[in-house]
Amino acid sequence: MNRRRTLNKLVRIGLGLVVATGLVASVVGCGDSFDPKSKMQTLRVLAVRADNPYPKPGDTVHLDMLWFDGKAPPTGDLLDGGLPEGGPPVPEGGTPDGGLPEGGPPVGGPGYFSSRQVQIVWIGGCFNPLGNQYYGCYSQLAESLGAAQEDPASFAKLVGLGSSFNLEIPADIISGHPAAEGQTPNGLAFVFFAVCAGEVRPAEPGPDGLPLGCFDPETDARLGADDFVPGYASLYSFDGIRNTNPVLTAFKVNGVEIAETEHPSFPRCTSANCSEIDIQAVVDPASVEPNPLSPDKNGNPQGEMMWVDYYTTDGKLKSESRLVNDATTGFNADHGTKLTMPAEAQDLHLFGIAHDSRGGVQWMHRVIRVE
Amino acid sequence: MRVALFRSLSLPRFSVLRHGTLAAFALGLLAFPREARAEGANDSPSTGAVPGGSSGAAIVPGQRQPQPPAAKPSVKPPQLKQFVSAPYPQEAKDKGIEGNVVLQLDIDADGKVANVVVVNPAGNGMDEAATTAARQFVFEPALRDGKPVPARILYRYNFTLQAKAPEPNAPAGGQPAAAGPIKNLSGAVKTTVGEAPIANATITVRDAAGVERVATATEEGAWAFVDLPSGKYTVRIQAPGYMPLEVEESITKTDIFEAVYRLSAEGIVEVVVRGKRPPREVTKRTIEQREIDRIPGTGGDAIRSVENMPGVARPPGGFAGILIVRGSSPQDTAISIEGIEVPLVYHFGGLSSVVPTELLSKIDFYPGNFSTQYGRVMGGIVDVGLRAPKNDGKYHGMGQIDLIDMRVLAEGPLPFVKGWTFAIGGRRSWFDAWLKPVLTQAGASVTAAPVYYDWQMYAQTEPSARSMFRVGFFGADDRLSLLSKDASGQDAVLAGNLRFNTTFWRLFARYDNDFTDNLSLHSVTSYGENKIGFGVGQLHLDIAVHPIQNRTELSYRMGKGATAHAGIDMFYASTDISILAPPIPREGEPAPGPYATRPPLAFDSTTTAYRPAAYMEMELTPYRRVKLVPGVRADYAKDTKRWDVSPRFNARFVLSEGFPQTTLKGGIGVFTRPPEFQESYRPFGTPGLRSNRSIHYALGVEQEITKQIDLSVEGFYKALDMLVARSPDATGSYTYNNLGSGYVVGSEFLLRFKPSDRFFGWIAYTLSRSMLRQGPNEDLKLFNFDQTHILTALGSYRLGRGWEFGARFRVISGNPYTPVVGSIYDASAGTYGAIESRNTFSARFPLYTQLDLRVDKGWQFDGWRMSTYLDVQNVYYSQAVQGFEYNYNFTQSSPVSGLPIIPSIGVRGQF
Repeated sequence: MNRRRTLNKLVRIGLGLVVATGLVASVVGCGDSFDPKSKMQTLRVLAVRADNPYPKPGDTVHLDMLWFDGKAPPTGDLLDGGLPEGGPPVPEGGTPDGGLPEGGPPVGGPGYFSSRQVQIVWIGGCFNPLGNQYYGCYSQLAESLGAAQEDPASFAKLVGLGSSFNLEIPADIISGHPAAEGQTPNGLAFVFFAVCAGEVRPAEPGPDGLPLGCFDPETDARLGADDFVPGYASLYSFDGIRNTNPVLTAFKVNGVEIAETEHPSFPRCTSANCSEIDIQAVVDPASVEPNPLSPDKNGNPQGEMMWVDYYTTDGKLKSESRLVNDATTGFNADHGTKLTMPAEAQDLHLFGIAHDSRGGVQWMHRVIRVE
Repeated sequence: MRVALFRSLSLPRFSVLRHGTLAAFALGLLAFPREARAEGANDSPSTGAVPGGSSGAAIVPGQRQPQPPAAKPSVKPPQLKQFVSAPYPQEAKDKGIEGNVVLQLDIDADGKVANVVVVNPAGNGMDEAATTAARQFVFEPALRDGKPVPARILYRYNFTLQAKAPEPNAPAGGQPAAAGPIKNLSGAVKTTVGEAPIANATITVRDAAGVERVATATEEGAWAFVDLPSGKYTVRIQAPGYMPLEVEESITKTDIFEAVYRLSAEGIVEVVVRGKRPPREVTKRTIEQREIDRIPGTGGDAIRSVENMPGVARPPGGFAGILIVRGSSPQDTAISIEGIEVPLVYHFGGLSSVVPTELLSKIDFYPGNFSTQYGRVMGGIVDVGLRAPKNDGKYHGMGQIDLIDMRVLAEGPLPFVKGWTFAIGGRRSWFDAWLKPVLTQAGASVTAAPVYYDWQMYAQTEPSARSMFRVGFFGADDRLSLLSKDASGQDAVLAGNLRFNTTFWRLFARYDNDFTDNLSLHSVTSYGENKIGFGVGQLHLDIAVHPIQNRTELSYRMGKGATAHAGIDMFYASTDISILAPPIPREGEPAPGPYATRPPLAFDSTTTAYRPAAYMEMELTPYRRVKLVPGVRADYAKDTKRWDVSPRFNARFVLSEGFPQTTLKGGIGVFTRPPEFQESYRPFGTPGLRSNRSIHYALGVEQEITKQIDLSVEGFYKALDMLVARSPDATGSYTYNNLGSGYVVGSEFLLRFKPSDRFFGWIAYTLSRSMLRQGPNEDLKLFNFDQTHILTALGSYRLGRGWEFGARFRVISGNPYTPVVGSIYDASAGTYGAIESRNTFSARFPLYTQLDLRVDKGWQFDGWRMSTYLDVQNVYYSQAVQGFEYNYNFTQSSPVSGLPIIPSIGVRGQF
């Protein structure tokens, strides 16, 4: 009798707990969502590629920029004629208030993806700043720019316009840089740039401390982040250690390799049918290099980290950034992602940009048609 | 979205804390009350058999001990109110064995016997019988200044066989034996306190020739002899657990003589009233057992209950598993278990503490101006004690399961080892069962879902009534491993194979001995291991530390007004370190941008840390109302090769004695913390640093308002200097210095309703400001954990029928933060980095409120008990801003609210 009473009591207790758990566990919170990084709706810089990501002291490094203007995407003419793979036209740089010289070294070719005028300004030559931090360059660059005002040749080396820029690495960039214990002796160079859908001008530093601004040439209005991208690229130098850019072998859509000039069509997303397509910028596994600067606990070099960033002009990517190689677990062949098609018919620009953890970059661009 | 992962990474500290001792306060032995008619009673233990009467056994109380000088006249020892007779063990009775068992009884403030320890065993089943009976005793509690307080007494329980009555001429109970009998000697046996009848007392009368007759008292305590011949008789009255009484009576055959004999329950041979000795610190806050597992909002986790004390800030997000005490950094507050420093006290940053509540005896919290027995930190001390295993001769068990983990506990006498008890417990989380599918669904390849364990096992013996020896082993293990094939959108290098594990264990031995009322020793020694492993992508941090610690304190009471404490606090550790990571900025330093393409620093080393310390402290009472505690502590650190000498002085002054008592208190002292490992070791740190230093000033008052309600108000000021600061250097790393400074100022208010049968609760409020300066030419800026207002009100009420209801409400200022004012694109990493305002911590999150509720219900079954609780945090889903989430280029932001509604529900069964 006692056991039965106990059992009944336990059953009642158990039921009470289940109900209580269900009530309180039903409340969950969720956060807001933002425009995804992968969706190019404004002026965007997607990558800066160095022809030699780990230059030797004394090398001249050629940098080219991949950028895309989501507010004024390329016109149909560009698509019909194929996007420029090399030798981008030099934008009309002008000579703003700061007296920037025209042109830059337009050698080699990044993309040029806008139907409006975009000015690109480079300021190069910050070496081994305090703390190896980009913001340690501000005082160094101000000093260099001041000195270069008196020397046009120096100024031309320091400042450039256009989608490309050449940077000379000082011969003493390593020897002049003290190394901490546990640190492989190295040198570090920073190159700054400003990409502006207007005119780049020197300006009073804002809250962000940047001494440059982007201005509408007609209204003189200062433009915001949708039309102005300030940034930097870093270049490390090591004695005897080199790095090459990742190698992309193909761009596949639904497992089928498509060429740059191909624009396959896919159905748009409707309420009845909203399809996904698989996209993948295919990385050559052989381009993954061991990284002697990243030893494991036994002192053996790990592989470099490598990943692919995906971008699109519309639709929704399931993953924006996919791991290609993990330092400890190795190569991930499944580094593609899925794209949910947009609801409107249009031409979709897709980018796959491979990075390695040592500054190596490579990219591919394709256009597909949404019907 | 910001890279908080590395910023929150904290390398372990090499610090060890001194275990606080809640020393007993000896007040002297019990002065046995005398019954007027008990003159001539035999004070020596009766060892002879009782002739005559039935074959039952008599249990004779033991001898009285000399009475030491009482420390205070206002102390009243406990009085036995309800005695429970122990059955004479059949085994002993069959063998004709007698004996006495000396028990140590811990009597709580309610007069109940909280714990029984066999001090001098007798064997043959007598220990168990005496223990079982003693656990059912009920006392009038000991009183200090009229207030009930816990007490510890020694109780001798004698087992004496009664010899068979040679010629019983009266039946038990004094029934008439023959026709026409006269009950010419009769009466009753009662207790001296309460006049309660004593059943089954044995009354023996012996005539001049030595012939004895025996009667046994009825349930009402009545007894009688009939037809006793005239003459003088020696009457001996015995009852189990009572002082025997022997008197002379003159009887005439024709007269009726009636007497009431009163026996004193005087098995008590020693009494130690455990009053609340004034602390050696300015402020010591103890969370009592009644409170620690019932405070709402903690999920039943005792150590998290410390967060409700004044002076303790709410951790960011409410769940960070850190303690921020009086505006100090989390590294400045040390937590120890059994006096042994542990590297972490919470599983997974606050989910639950690493020692289950069921095994804790106390949590002492010192928010500042602590004793010289503690060192190597500048903030506060949390001292957690493990309780003694149950010692009633039975085995006990407990099992509990809630939404997060499940745990078991067993305790009782240690098999095959006489005089030892043990406790063994373990816990394992089980949320991996449901979290792994969720993570897998989210795209992660989970190789090991998050899981934690902790374990505790220890055995204890009490070689004497004044000593205790305990050996044990405890530890915890947290681990998580997953492989994500998605790279981080903000910093791709922080992706891929993510692993995290923390493990620690300690083997320890503790010995306490109050050799005399004036001399005591407390010592704990431990050896163990701390392992921290963290890896993400190509980066890793693996540290294994093997610490050896010893803390020993000798206390000597030199007289009524002076007690000296001297101790050592030793720490030695061998350490293996393997790190591959970039230098990480600290809070308040400019955001460095992504780590993706930065070459990491590599560091592999085996080293030793040696940090011995010694201290001395005096407790002086120059006159009765004043207590002065001067002390000094000297710390050496091998890594800095420097000595730190820390003089400290605390004082208490009883402004008005009696009730309501008012006590003024204050203190001043120097406190130091050696630099962290990563600050003083290359390549991350700078050798040659000195310790951080803080001078604590405190002044306050404690006021009794009612017998149940106390008020404590305290102001404090901490001057900080020689703080370890740093600046970026030419190598790309940082150079550390001791140029940081600052101050913390504030006041605390605590209105506390002390635990009663029905209710406990308190209102705690702290007003404070914490400011830091990175260098002599820098501006003073808010400390990142500064919280201006911290208000906590909580209470718990027993409704009856096993129900208890509690609530906690908190109002807390938001933490300061540094606004993001822009962003810059790192093209090499392919992502943006935030640009923060140069005016660090110039903004503050809004005021935060939170209500937590808790309901407990218990059921009593035959031989076991079941209970359940529902603890709901953030009941009304307060969505106060706790941070901001940003989009990829920091042009859009969204406030992040703190915890959602967090239910915790658990079921427990115990026997």
